[in-house]
Amino acid sequence: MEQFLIFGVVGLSTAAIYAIIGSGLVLTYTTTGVFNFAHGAAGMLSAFAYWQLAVGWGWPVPLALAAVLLVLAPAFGLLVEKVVLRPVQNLGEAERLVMTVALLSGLIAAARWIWDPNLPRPLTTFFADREPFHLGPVTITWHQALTMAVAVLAALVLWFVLNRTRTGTEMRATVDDRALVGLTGADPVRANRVAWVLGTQLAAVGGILIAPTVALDAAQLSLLIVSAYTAAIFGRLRSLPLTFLGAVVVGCLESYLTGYLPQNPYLPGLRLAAPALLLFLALLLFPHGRLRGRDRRLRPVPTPTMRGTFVFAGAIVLFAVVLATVLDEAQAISYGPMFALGVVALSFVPLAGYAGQISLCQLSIAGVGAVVWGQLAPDGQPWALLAAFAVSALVGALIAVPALRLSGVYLALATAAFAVVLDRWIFTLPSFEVLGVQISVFNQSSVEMAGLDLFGFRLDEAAELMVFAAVCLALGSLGVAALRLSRFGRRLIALRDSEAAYATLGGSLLFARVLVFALSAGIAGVGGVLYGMQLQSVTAEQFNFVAGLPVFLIAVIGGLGAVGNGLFTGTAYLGPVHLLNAVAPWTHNIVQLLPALAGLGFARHPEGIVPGLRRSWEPLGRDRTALAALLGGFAVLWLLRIGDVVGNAVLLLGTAVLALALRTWARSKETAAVVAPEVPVEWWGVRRPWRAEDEEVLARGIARG
Amino acid sequence: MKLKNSVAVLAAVALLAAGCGRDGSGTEETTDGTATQAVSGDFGDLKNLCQAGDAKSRSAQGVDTEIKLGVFTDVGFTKKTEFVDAAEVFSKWCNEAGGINGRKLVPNTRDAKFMEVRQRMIESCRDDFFIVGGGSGLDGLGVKDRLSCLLPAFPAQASQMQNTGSDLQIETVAGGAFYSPYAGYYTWLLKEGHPGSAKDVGLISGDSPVTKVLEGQTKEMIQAAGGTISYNELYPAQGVSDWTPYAQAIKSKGVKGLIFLGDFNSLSKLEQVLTSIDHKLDWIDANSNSYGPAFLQLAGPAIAGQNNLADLGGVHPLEDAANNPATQQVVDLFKKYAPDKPVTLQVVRAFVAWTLFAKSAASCGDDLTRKCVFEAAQEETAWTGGGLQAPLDLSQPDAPAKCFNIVQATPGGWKPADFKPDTGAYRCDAPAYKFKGDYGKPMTLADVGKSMSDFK
Repeated sequence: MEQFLIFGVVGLSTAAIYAIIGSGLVLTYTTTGVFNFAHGAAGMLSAFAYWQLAVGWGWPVPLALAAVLLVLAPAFGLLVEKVVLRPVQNLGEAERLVMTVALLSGLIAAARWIWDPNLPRPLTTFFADREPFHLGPVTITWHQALTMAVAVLAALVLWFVLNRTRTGTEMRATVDDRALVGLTGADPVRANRVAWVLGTQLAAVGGILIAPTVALDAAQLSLLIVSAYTAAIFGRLRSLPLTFLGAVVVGCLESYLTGYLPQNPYLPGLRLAAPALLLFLALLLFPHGRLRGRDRRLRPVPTPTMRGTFVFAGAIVLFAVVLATVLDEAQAISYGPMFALGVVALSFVPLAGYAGQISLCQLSIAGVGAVVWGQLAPDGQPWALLAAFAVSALVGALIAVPALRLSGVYLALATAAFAVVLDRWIFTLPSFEVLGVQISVFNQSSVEMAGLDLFGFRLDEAAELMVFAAVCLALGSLGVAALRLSRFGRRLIALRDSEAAYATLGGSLLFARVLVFALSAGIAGVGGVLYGMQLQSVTAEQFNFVAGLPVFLIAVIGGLGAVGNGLFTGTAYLGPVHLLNAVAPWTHNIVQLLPALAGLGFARHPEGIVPGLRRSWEPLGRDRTALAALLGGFAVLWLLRIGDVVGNAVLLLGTAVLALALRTWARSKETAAVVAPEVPVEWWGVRRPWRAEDEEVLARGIARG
Repeated sequence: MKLKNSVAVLAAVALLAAGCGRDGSGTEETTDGTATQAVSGDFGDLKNLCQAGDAKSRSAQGVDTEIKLGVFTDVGFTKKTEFVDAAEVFSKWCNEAGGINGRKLVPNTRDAKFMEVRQRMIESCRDDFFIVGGGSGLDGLGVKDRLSCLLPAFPAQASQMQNTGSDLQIETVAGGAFYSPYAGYYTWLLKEGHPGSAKDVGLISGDSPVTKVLEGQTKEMIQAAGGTISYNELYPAQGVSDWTPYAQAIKSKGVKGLIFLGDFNSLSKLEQVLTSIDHKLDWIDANSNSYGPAFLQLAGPAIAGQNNLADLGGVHPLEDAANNPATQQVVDLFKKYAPDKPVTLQVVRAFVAWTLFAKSAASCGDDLTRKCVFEAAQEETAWTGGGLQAPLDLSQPDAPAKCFNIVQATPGGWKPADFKPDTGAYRCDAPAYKFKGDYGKPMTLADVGKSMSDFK
């Protein structure tokens, strides 16, 4: 019993931190509809700022606290609200998620740049010099007591602000109906600002309280908050008291598992995964309020043409072949995974682009595919590729069934939780037996990945594997384009547009969702196999949740509905990094910020970059002369490169200049050739701009009539 | 898998996706050949390790009037510059002293940035004469390419099982691939230092699969040394929000000795909690990763509250440099050539590898070939790197470590523990323990279809 009490009190002190962080999440989500993945990162930044002021520059603690909590944190909250989130306020869930994911990765990179991670930064707990006091058998430090007190205080203050002040009423009203709030003269933007300021302050309080008890490390502090997510989900992202209850449940669960879980090789991982498992269960079991989907504007999914897609697929393969001939082996290893990761990114297109289901575990599923290949095909047997597809698809279907009733941010969280469970438990399991079948995951430190054995021809050179991955990506792109044009593709889009309408019209939600999850998981699994083949041996870290975030980020930036997204994501993920590193190594700190910066620039192209690219290059594709000139010019450059007359830089720059020049030419020709089509009179000012003379023309027309 | 490095790997994996590092395969600038001969070429007890001469023939790849050497590191990822610093300091000093028979050392930094080991290895295969004085966390990824191009290595550290003890490689860190490098340390802990703790040993390790091997080896070794593991726990490598439950579990299970296979940042936090709940263990194996001032600063008052120990594996402690000319020389050279950079344990290990290369290469004269250097090094039966560490027999590729030396963290800094040294600063009666479990095998030339007769 004494044990039980001790671990209970210990759990409560952990719970206090989760409660503070979780309530900040809930506050920003209810008011602004943004689930802030960067919430922990804001706390991390505050902790570093506090360290800088209080320890680095030796300010007195109260002054440093005041500066961080009352000046820096609110300023940061306002900045984030204005620069990052207001532009995407009216976009879909995936877009809003991506902004916070971009912010998360940007803040981690920035903190590692500003504060050298190798310098020790000790941060003592508050009241460290006071003797801890004893409560029965339990020892409680003053820092723990302070944390619990702050949590209770935060709860009281939040309750007061939300229920007893005008601003709080405005904030709650904004949750219910933004437009109506605007009509009554309140300002929903102001409510958002207040929510961000308060939310960031809570994150800062949490960050400063937690930093002395964990290492002052940018990534650790930013990613600790999975447990706080669980607390927030207990509160169904809207109820603060339930969030506090959730925090207590998670804190105590973690504590009791540490104290009581029996010791065996299979279970420690379960304890680490417990908050994530609990998150998954909470998402499944609790009823969720209607998602705030009213102010979301659906954009049409771009329609590819099969002819265009064939050209595109050919271009992918040609691209890979050219790369294979001009890159040396080391470069081929660096750039090769572009196509493999492209296949993983392609799996987002049917799932998130067509069916509107946000999944954050695609790279983890790719890991499953890689494990299957590694374990089943030590000699590269081709059938194992199908097995990898099948097993990954099965895993995808397994996620889809329980996740049937989730959508939007809840689904994103559920898939994130699933990815974390894989990372912390499944991927670290020793090999085990199920029904007489020996199953090994990453039980050793790494799994060897054999190259594919294609009818006796072994693909094991980096360049060969790159071309093979490109062929797979080309085939995958063709398949996804065909899916978009098929009946099933149209159904998926109908499902995305309105699940209720889809079900009303007789569509089976279960069938469609399971199928699309399985399909996209299968594609991701194959991508994982290709990625693993290129790496030769893989570890679980290469496929963990955090590694998957940038892929998701870039895929959303590319435009989830576009078939070309696979190639775009793969290229944009690896290309600029290696290129800049090779050309200008001093940019390495800026390079780390690139994905984040791209994400933040995303608000200007909410439909993604790929559709824009497609529009701007199509004229060149249609113009035979220009296309022939491009191919011819390129062939000359390529031959010069192969003959070692010019280097890769000339090939790259020459091709780029040639292509841009021809594109401009083709576009200007096309614009000149196109005669403006006749617009019916009732659409003037709508389908074409209103012209100054229109009024007179209309007046005369009416007069004549 | 050796402890010191895989723990670094573990600390690093948490950051894996947070940012990709830089590509730094650039060539280090070295002082040009006009350097004066005023600098002495002696290092420790090695006389004329570097000296002028007129060797200049193109006897092998990467050799003419210069010797191009690959230095592996993960600096672009971990931002730890120690191997790069050691290479720069050693080569600057050696070149000023005349080089290797007149040839200048040119270290090429091969920054694997954690994941890009193969790419750097292929580049090293293309340009370098030898690999010296470095190491990267996932070095197992590069062994196949290294053996295929017959590139020999004297690394400062080897971490993964495929690499540790692989062919064409001489490791100057004590302990072969199949023997526990900590047999002496753990035996002393459980039988002499703190026999009362033998039945209550705790083991906490990070949840990365990379540490699985290490965890298995440690369990085996503890049992062989007569200990019982009464508490075995994992922690998430991405961070623990509150160490109190762990500390509480350690206290309520009555753990008396704790082995921590993880980053010292986390350990310092765990110890603070342990101290605050009044649980003082007999000993905590903080491992040699935490050997340095950073851990002491991070742990703060917990240093006095707990008994932190680490085995330096026969490397002379840096604090005691004044009593050991070779160590003092490293400190002095750093003061001269890289005054802002710290001298760490890894720097010393890198110097042990660099001195081995310099001595072996010098013995080859003008006809400098890989085979000649490698065979010269194999003839060293008591290598100390000029006195930096306890003697090591390099003619035995897989021999158990004989010597160990234990340091203890005190508020005043790290100090040698009371482990009854019998040979200078070291104790050289470590029992040999050969692992029984299967932890993988080092790669051999035969694995890539080559043999020693291909090696020139």
